[in-house]
Amino acid sequence: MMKVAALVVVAALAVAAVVAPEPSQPVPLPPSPQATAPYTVCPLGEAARRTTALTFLEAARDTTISIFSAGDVPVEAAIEVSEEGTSALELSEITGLALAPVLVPQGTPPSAVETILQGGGVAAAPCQPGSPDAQVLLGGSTAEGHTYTISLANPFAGAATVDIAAASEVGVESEPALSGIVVPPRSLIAVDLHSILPGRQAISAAIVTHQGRVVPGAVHDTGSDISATAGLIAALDWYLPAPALEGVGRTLVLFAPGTTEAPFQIDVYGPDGLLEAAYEDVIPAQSQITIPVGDLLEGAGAIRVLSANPVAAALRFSGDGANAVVPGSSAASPSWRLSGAGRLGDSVVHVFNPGDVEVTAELQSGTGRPITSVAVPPQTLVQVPITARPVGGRLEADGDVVVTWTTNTENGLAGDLADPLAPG
Amino acid sequence: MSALPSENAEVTEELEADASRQTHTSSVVAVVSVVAGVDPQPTLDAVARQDYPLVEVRLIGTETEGTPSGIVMSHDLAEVVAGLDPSVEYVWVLHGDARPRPDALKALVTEANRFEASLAGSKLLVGGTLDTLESVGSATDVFGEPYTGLDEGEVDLEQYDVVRDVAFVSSVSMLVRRDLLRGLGGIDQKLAPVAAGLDLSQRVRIAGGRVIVVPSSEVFHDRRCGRGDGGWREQSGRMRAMLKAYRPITLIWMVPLAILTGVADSLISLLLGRWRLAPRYLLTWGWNLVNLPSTIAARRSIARVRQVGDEELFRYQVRGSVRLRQVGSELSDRLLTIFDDDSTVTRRAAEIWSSPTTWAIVGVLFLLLIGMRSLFLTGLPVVGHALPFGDASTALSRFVGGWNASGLGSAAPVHPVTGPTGVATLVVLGNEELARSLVTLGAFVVGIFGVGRLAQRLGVGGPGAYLGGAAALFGLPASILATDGRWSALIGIGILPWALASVVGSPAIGRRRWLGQAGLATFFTGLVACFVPVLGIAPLLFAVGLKLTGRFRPRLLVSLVGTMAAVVAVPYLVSRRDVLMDGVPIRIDAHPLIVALVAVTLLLAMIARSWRAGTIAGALTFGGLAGSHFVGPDIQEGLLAIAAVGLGLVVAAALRRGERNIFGWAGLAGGVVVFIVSLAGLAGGRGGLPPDTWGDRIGFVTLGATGVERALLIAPDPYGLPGESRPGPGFWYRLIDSRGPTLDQAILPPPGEGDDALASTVELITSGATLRPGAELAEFGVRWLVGTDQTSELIGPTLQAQIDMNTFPFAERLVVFENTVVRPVAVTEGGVPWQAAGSGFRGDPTDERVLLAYNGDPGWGPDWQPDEWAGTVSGRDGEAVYRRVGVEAVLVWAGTVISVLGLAVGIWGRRT
Repeated sequence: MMKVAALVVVAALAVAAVVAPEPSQPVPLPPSPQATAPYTVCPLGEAARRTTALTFLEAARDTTISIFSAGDVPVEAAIEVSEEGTSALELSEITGLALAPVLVPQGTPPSAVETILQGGGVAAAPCQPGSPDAQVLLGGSTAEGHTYTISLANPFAGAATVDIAAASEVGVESEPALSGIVVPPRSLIAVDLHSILPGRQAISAAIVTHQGRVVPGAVHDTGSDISATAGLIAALDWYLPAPALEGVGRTLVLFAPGTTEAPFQIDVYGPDGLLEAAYEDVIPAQSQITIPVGDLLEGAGAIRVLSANPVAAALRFSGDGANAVVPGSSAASPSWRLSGAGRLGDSVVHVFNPGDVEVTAELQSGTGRPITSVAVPPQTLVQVPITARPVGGRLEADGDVVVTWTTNTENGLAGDLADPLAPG
Repeated sequence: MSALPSENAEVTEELEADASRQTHTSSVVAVVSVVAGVDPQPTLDAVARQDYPLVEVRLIGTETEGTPSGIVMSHDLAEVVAGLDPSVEYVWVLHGDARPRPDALKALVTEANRFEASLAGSKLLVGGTLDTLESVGSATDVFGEPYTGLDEGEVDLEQYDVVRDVAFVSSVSMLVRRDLLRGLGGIDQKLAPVAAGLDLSQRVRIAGGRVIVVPSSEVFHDRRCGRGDGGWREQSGRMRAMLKAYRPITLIWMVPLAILTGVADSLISLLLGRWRLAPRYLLTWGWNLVNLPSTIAARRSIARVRQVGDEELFRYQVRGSVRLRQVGSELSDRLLTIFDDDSTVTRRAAEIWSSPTTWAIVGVLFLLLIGMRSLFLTGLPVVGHALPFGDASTALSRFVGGWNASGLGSAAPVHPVTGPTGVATLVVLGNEELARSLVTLGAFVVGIFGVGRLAQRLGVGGPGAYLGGAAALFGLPASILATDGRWSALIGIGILPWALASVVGSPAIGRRRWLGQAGLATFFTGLVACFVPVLGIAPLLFAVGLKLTGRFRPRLLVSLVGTMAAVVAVPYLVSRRDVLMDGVPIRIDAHPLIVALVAVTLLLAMIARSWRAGTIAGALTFGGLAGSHFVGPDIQEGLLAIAAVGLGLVVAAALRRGERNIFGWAGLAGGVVVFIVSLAGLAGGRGGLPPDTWGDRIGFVTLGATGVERALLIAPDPYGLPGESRPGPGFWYRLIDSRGPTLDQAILPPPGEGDDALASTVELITSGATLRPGAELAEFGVRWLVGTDQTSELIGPTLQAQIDMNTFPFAERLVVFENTVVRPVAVTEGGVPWQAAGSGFRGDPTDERVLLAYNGDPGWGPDWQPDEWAGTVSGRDGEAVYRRVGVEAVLVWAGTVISVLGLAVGIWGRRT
């Protein structure tokens, strides 16, 4: 009897060893939500050939900027910030470096920082933190007499390796010199695209990062004016306010950085209201397409680009003595910061209401003082003038809008997308 | 003369000279030295019976009363020699307790003349016996320790009967040339008899004379004058003899070596229960110091007659230390007696190679060598919890209640494995890798014998039990532990069968024997608890289980006493109470087919062999395996170690010899299959452990360190990191210090405020919210951030956009960033790093305070003050130390002392 009991006990234990549930596998904590980048980079700073001004909105009081060059940080300077958080700085005050990319630490909320270039024309471009995704530089040209220089800034501790995937009217460019570009730590590499790929009437490029991180920017000099652009991250939906400037042509530039083609449609918000699917086409993979806005829209209005695959979109303004590229916005927002507006002179703020309800927008100075208030009817672009000032202002609306600004001076044309807060 | 047979001229000449010597009668004076309390008359009578003419017989002694008539009594040999007529050729020195055979002197004189020897000694036979040898001349080691080459009680079968040169002859009976004796100043009166013979022999040899032993001269010796090693006076005398004889260049190395040898001899003898050695060595050196002036004077005298160098003395010496060889042999005999319960190896040495058990052991040991071959080729891997030992003194100080520096530090006890591994490192003079290899190999060897012993105690012993040992060490449960890198648990498997066997078996006969059993149970319980803390209770539970099963003879009281030693692990287990049933589990990968195979084999063995032993084996194997699914890793280790020993018993039961019916044959086949399947663990050659992960690959963490610094290791799962880790955002992480991963850092103590701060910092960094992660990590002393290659997606993007951690491209299959703003763990406010000193820190004294990047604890000093999650101490003393004696330290000390005492008592108890 005892033997049988022992056999049963042992057999039961053996069964238990097989059927016992596996110990629960350990799991780590959920991944950290990605925070807003604690810095921004202005790759287009120059202190010799041109005058570069940096404009700050909502900057932290103890902001210290760093200029990095050739693996070192030769300049660190604390900026003077007003009680309202505004500041403007000309780089020539703190350095004489010809190429003076700037690293700006960010607080909470992050400040809006704009690079304003003067010399051989005027231009404006936002400072950005860069991205591991492809960053697209739109609206360049290497036609005769033009220069188009891409700046790859790496303020970080690790080296970066990137490819420049360029496309022009001849299609996808294939140039070994644009592959495997190593950007050492705390350094900037300037790539003269007009030397490598000369004679392109319209050229755009995607900066594809393989290792590390770079913050790209580009300056296009037509000989009579300059434009500056920062990297755009491709998206499926773009809003582009399209002001009508006298004597200035408008071109919509689209670029598909992905490896698949991107079918798209263009909705036009003109004086006659919304015209959906006014234009449809397909952007080949890693290619650009340029569309004259005049073919779609007469006068001021706005354009919406809807794409099946991610694309980047911008409006290029060009004409006699005018050259500017204003990127589109992939989202609408009720709050916008216009850090550089007014820095180059009297400017115009373009407010587009993509919604179906009228929106009231209040334009404020950089210190928060109201300047003016306008009603923006649905699906309509409204233009609000703003006088010259060291640092731009803000715009607060009671609905989602898209805001850009332009400054048209005798030195040239400049413009940029405003910096959205709490998008969508 | 005409009868001389040879036609060879040289030989003929030699034979003629020989014949001449034999016919020549040398004049000899006999000198008998009186032994205190011994009547010299029998010696004088024996001298009188000699068949060789003596010129005169003299006595040496201090008391003239009772001196036989006609015998002149002198005070010492020098006085005798000084007064002898120059025509006397030899002096025959005899002890007053010696009785020479009638032809003893004749043989001595004849051979001395024949070999032109200056000193000739007799063969000594023990008085009162017919043929027991005492001495046939002796060799010594370099320290003067005699080596006779004779076994105790060895019978004279004329096996040594050849005249030969020897290192020395005893002064009990020796013939020495008068002129040489006079020139050398006679016998050193300060020396005991054997030492005196050694001394005179060496002086004779240095003076160019030959020292021979003449076995045909037989003398019975009553040993009333003192025996062989004769206490500290003999030892002192031998040392004096060597101090007198050697040249200075020899003394320079001989004296320190002699001191070291004495220390080693004393320590080993302590293990054998002999405490008198150390005082004896002290007396020896003290006596020689007191007599140093006369020794120096004697050296001067010898220098005047020296003809040969020390090399001539070395020729007749044995290599090494005779004392160490003797105690080493004795110690190994004792240990073998402990391990070899059925005396397979020792008592039945003659039958050893005809025993199947022996061949099973040899075979298993051969397999073991295969399974552990990496030990000899590349060393053990550094993976999981299989980590290098680290510095011995630091480890031991942490073991006995010092600061636990694992992670960000804690007052919580370290894993008790730190103790025995620290001792092992200490024993091999700090060679950590050697200690690790020896402990591993030793535990596996011991484990094989242990399973054999346990199986025998449970009635299923025999050759198969040793194969069961291999199954225990490499089979399924051991494989589960090894795959997880649980090194200490594998060692625990080796020790556990000894702890279990110590609580089962025949009851003790006599109190001493019982104490011996209890002592060994205590030792093994304490030892196994050090490696696998929860197993401290296993012997007691095992004994209780056996009691319930019946028939077996558990030693309940012994197990109860033995469990006392488990207190060594109690502080650790208390500190782990939150994770005993939780924590990161050991991955149980038990294929159902293998479990079924073991189960069927066991059931067959239970039917065909021993159902009781089978029940025990089954309960251990399957109970351990099943239970390990429901508990935390500390208890899992214990249960799987138990299951491993159980599996060994399953194989032992299945392979046990017995009646061969269908069940028996099937069980045997099952046992063989289980054994073969278990050998899969041999494949890697690392004792089942995975390949090295954290060894040489992170050797770079020591680069550039200005003080104690840390590395933050990151992996997508906790099994990819050395030791324990903490969950982070999307990955697991842990800190190690700049020594690299070591065993005392394997277990992370309960998290403190610093750990919470570190968790927040890790979260901050991985969210990409800081541009300067290096500055954030510097607060924790982190120089290196090291991720496995699988973590590049997790940490790479965020760490690409920062400005104070450089990428380090030279690490293999790792993502590494080096902090450019590192701050060592201990650093002054001015930034001067302090260096590690034991478990504390040391630096130049300063008025500044010293920041310690450890979880704050007031046990640090001097003048500890909190500083956020960490603390600072005063720099004035130039050191930062941790002193805190809590109940944990007391328990660890108590457990250690009990275990060591247990071993001593266990050995003492078995000497019966």
